[in-house]
Amino acid sequence: MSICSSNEVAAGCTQAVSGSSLNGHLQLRCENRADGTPYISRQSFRAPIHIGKALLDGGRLLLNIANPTAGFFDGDRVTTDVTVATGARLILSTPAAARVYQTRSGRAAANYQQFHLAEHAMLEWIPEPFIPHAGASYVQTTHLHLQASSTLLFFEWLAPGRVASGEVFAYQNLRWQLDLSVADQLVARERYNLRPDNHSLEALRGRFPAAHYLSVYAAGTMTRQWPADPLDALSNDDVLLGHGPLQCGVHVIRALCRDSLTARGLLEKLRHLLYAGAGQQPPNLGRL
Amino acid sequence: MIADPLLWLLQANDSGYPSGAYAHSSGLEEMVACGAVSDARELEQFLQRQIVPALLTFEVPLFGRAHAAAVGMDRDALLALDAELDAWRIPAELRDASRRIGSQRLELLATLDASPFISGLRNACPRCHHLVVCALELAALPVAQAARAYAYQAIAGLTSASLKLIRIGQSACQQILRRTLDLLGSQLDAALLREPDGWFNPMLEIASLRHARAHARLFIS
Repeated sequence: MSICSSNEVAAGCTQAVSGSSLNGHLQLRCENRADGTPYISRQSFRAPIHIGKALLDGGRLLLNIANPTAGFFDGDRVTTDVTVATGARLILSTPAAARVYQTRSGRAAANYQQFHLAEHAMLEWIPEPFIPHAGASYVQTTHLHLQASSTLLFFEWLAPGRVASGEVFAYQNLRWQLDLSVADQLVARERYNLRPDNHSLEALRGRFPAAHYLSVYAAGTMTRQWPADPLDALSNDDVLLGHGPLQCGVHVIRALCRDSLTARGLLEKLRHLLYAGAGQQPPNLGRL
Repeated sequence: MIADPLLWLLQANDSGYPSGAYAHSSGLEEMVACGAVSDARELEQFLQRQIVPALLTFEVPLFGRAHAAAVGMDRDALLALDAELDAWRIPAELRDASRRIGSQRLELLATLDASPFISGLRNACPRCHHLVVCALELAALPVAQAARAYAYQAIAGLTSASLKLIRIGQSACQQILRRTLDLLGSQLDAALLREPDGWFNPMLEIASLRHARAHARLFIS
């Protein structure tokens, strides 16, 4: 199973990149001041990553991560390492879709990301959709390290491509790798390649020809009152959704949506349902 | 100690062997309910384009590892694989189905082939995953044959369930099974040489997640 180890991720999985590609990083540490207010106690970032000014929303720190370049190009490499310290609450989002462009050299763009949540820490990861363009090649590796009392909302939104331009599942290869562990116990493992030249997209486009795929991992306070019946009610002619428990109190939601508007609407409903179950209002991202 | 591994293979893979697998559709029931599989043609496509690739990419290579651990009587390696399988199987119903069938088979194996190694594994993990127990059951066979038996169980379980779920006759079902096994067999040896990797099947995952909450159902999974 090819996946970078934690040490490799921390080191940026430093394979050589071409002269024109970028090797960026984002390192963040969020912790609480003595009065309980979260703040970014350490930050470091390099192109193509830029971060905005942090905002407080109901005791949670909201931070937008931007990619001021057009997106990922072949050979680009980004390493993200986020730590949320004990009791701190951090919301990470992106202001625009993440795009990965056609590879010209044949090399993949790579995104390595790891998140460490301490006891009673909370992280919401709510990016805009990931849009792989025609001919794109991309590898994403994610490690989520939780403690037993950590709270997590981890959203992923995979678009089929630039649908309006007629690019539907026209990418070359997407490699997805994810490990989620709680107190060092592996709870979820995902590995897959998506390629149009074999049957790997069969299940994705079987229901809707240009399906958008949503995945959510939830843990901690977000699962204490799991809104099972309201989640069941979200399935309709445009949405097929399933949800259920993993080990260690983690829950998962998977959904296939007919199009981007349906996916966006579903995402908004999911956030409200899960935050309501935790007795909270979702932080205002300014766009959902 | 199994005296004749081939006869033992026939016994352990026989439909009369009480593994409880007949009560599981492994997500197929909800695939039918969702309209994703509604006739013989779609069943064959589902098996050949989704199930066989998943077997060849993930389960067969992992089975190869489990078989090697069983042959080497490496209990720690088997238990580690067993724990890892929980993380790979996202829908709770599929995890539970695999453990139910595995535990039933392990219990019977401990009765039929009472070795200290098997008893020790059963004591350490009475609800082992089916894949791990199957590797243990068939450790006396070469891995290529044992993996075929495991993969056969997976596909035959689905075709057997399909008889109760869609309008399909026994003969058509056997034809689909024959063609699917031909496809599987042509690639299985190569799969045993690969590292285990995942196979993306959001439809089957969602179907299994939904099946666990269905109001009415024929199968446990």
